[in-house]
Amino acid sequence: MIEGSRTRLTVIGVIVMFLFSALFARLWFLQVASDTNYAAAATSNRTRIVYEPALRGRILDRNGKPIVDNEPVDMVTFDRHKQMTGAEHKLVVARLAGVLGVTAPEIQKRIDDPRASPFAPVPIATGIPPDVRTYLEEREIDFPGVKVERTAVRAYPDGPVAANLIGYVSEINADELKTREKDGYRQGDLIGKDGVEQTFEDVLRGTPRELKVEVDSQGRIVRTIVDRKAVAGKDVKLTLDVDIQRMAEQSLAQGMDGARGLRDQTEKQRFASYRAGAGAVVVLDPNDGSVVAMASNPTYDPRQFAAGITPEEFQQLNRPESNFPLVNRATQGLYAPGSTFKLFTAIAGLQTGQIDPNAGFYDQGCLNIGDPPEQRCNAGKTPHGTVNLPAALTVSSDTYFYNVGREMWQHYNAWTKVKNGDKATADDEIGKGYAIQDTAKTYGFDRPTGVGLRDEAGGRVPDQLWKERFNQNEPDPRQKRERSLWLPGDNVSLAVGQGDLLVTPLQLASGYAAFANGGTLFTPRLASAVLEPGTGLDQPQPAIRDLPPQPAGTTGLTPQNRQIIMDGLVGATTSDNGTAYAAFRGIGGPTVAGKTGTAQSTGKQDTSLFVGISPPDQPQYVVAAVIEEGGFGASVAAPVVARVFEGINGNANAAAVQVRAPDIQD
Amino acid sequence: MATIPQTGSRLSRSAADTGRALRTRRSYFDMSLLRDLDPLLIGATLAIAALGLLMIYSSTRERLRLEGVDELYFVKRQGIAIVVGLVLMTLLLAIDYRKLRDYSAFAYVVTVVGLLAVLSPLGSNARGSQAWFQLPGGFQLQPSELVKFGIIIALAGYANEHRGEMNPWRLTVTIALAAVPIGLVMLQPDFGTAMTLGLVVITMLAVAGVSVRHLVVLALLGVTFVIAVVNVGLLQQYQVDRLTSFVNQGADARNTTYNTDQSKNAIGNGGVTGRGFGNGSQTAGGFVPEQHTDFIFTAVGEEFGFLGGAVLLALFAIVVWRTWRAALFARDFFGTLVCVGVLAMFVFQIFENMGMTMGIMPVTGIPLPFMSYGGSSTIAGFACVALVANVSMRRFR
Repeated sequence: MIEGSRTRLTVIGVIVMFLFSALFARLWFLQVASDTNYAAAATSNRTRIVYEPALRGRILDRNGKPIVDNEPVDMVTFDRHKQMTGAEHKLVVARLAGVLGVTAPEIQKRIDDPRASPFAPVPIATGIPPDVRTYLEEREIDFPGVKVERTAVRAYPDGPVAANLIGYVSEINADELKTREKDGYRQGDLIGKDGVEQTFEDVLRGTPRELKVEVDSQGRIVRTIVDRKAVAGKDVKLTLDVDIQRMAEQSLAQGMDGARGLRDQTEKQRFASYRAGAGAVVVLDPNDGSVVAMASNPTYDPRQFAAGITPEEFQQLNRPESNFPLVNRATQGLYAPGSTFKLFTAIAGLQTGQIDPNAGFYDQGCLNIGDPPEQRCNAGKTPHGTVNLPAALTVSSDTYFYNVGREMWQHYNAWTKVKNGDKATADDEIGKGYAIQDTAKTYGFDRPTGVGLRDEAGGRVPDQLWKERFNQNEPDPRQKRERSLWLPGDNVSLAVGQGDLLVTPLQLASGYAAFANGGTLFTPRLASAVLEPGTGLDQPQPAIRDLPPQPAGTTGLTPQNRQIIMDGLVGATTSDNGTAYAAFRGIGGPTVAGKTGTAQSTGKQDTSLFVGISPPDQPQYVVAAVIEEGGFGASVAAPVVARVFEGINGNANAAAVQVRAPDIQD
Repeated sequence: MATIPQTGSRLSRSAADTGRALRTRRSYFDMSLLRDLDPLLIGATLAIAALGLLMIYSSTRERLRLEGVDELYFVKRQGIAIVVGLVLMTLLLAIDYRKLRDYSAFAYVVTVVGLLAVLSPLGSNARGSQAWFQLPGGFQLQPSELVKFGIIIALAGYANEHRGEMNPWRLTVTIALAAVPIGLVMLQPDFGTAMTLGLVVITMLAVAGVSVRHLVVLALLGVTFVIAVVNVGLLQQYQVDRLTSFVNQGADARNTTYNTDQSKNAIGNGGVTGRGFGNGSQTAGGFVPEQHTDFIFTAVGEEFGFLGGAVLLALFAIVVWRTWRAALFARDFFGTLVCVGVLAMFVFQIFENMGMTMGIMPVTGIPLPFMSYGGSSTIAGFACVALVANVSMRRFR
């Protein structure tokens, strides 16, 4: 060996020892000394959880009739783990596209959908016709990886009904996922988006099957660790009566149609027809606040969502041209109640002793208010002559109630003057001055009813504090001070349900219900019980949980005051000078007491309103109808309510709503 | 060391010995040579190969089962390669390595021709490399693995001929000669093998007596060359990828971090004592790409833990130690150079491969000797061990 080579060999030996030591040290670090939890990383690497949704609970009407059910449908799926060449894959996609009548890129897009579970076959098409199913099954060899499976979608056995109340089910979105993740929701899950489907989501959903599996790096299932069976969702029994609901929807649509054929006679819109673009009908059981029917128009077809709605279809439902059919007018629509509110002005006046029910008031058509005087008139300046309270309600004398509002304002004004003096007097004055607002609040008009439907509006009962808040950003201090004052005109407008007062149709019906039942305000109730899942057979389903009526307060209404007012309301439909006499003449069945309303709305045609109570002595139903830009309450809303009562009375074949030209003013 | 005679006197005697040995060996193999066969070297090699078979089984069993194929498919093929390697080893042991010295020029030519042939249409392309000959029975031959063997013989022969006179001219000639097969390997492209060969050449030259100054220049040139090739676009992007990240054939969009993370997960999951044979979840699940070939060490790490890894490292250390010892005690300079070449090859492959699985070396496609699934590299490995055993066995005569 060459001298020097030995030295170099020794050097090489040292280098080799160093390299082996480095490997040894690294091995020690990774396996013995490292803080990183490689075992946990390895576990999460190979464990996957697959969720399969449980069968969703049904929604039944008050008689146990299914409104929403589940329907088995055929679904085409594709197994992404099926071994095949790129060419084979392309061929299958092309064939599928031909069979299903969509383009190949569309099929590929669905296969690649990142939202689909990586461990289950991807859904390609749902609700395919039977012949397509047969075709695919017979040619299994030509469609490797393609399977036809059964799945359940929402079904509406007797056609869609009460869409805005029932709501719909759709894929969970990012925001919902954020708040619902702790409840076990996953990307791609279905969730109730609106109405009862949303309110009772937790009951209806059930518990999804949870399959915990060990997979290999290709995502193939190697072993099942845990398989927790799905628990079907519970059924919800609504207080809704599906027959009355249909009658309400139909009558509302007929009324709106009829209104569009009427000429607007008011000065501003002399030659226009009524637009009648939207409306709502609410039917309550005043004895427990149960929602018997709730119609909103325009509405939509929930079957669109059952099969998976396209983005285009969904956008269509949110366009102004279609007038926002997803909005539930009964709970989200805000309207001036107009003369229907006179009921509460009357209660306020009676309870604070500011109205003597028997005292006559000479209605000459107009009344001067405030200083400088401002003239307020009945519709069409029609004089009604001498009227007491019931008569004023029957003929809907605005002037009578202007006067009530004006007198109440005097007390309001007195309170502002004595507020630094005698406390007892001041309290008395403020009670009289704010009597209408206080009554309105007692009857639930300043807050959402709490029925449990999404985004329910709370309404607005204006007073000085509200005016201050409303104008707090007014830059000019003088303007700001003036606009923040509660003026006589404000109180007079409030007395007839105008001005800044806004209510929802549901609030209106609920307030009337509290009057009808003698003074108990209920939180409107959608469902009466949660039931064990139905077997599909005609077996009684045991109730898991009853949902009792929810009293929300008493209003302090005395039977005497109730009777006085009820007389006026009965007169409105039964006496020949009543505002709704024509609409209710000859409908048969128990007497309907009621009140018309024609509310002005800035920049819009008048809102047509009517609320009916029947029978007056032992009320079973309160029906409220509101039609946006529908004109006079007597001409559209009252006939709509009349027909709903015909339905309630069992006349399923009642003649279509007959709107009436506004011969009676208001 | 003291027992080694002076160089001068050894030369003449060694020539005479050779002549006599060749005469006798023509008729029969001197069985007494087996007394000097290194049992540690052979034993450690066989132990590593056996462990390799176990790990190939562990890391492919589940995948093959899921695909409905024979679970022992890879194990059987590797077993065949080991048997072929052992047969070749026996044949090589029978021939006196000094005879190979006379054929070193021939070995060089065969190597270069083989590499040219594989680049021609005779060779086949797999995973972006023109590196295989397709053989009957579904077997492939990868000449770049056998090149390691050839280049060691050739270079040892050339340097032995010019021992003590490695002047700049001879050095240049040596480099030029080595550059041809290395360049051909790079054309496949197989940058990992090319780097292994480069390191083998430099190490052999170092022992061959090239001055430290020239070695430093050579090393700097080598480093510059590697950097230039990677950065200046001499390689296609996918070739750079092959060096900087090992592209897994199964998944197309996985990056270096994925490989290394999965690899470290598997090893780290083993802990001190390991999950036990057949119980490695990462191994069974096939989470480590190319686990039965280049990432075979992760299976050892997961299933046999730190203890298993350390034992394997010790076995490799024995092989390397015995190779180093054979180089030191070789009867002639050719033997020393051959052993040094084999040593450099083993050490680089072991360090690069295990270092890559543990995240301290870049990911390249270099197999772990005797462990990784792959016939050509296994056979080449046994051939190289045979060379070392041959040199060590004949150190006294």
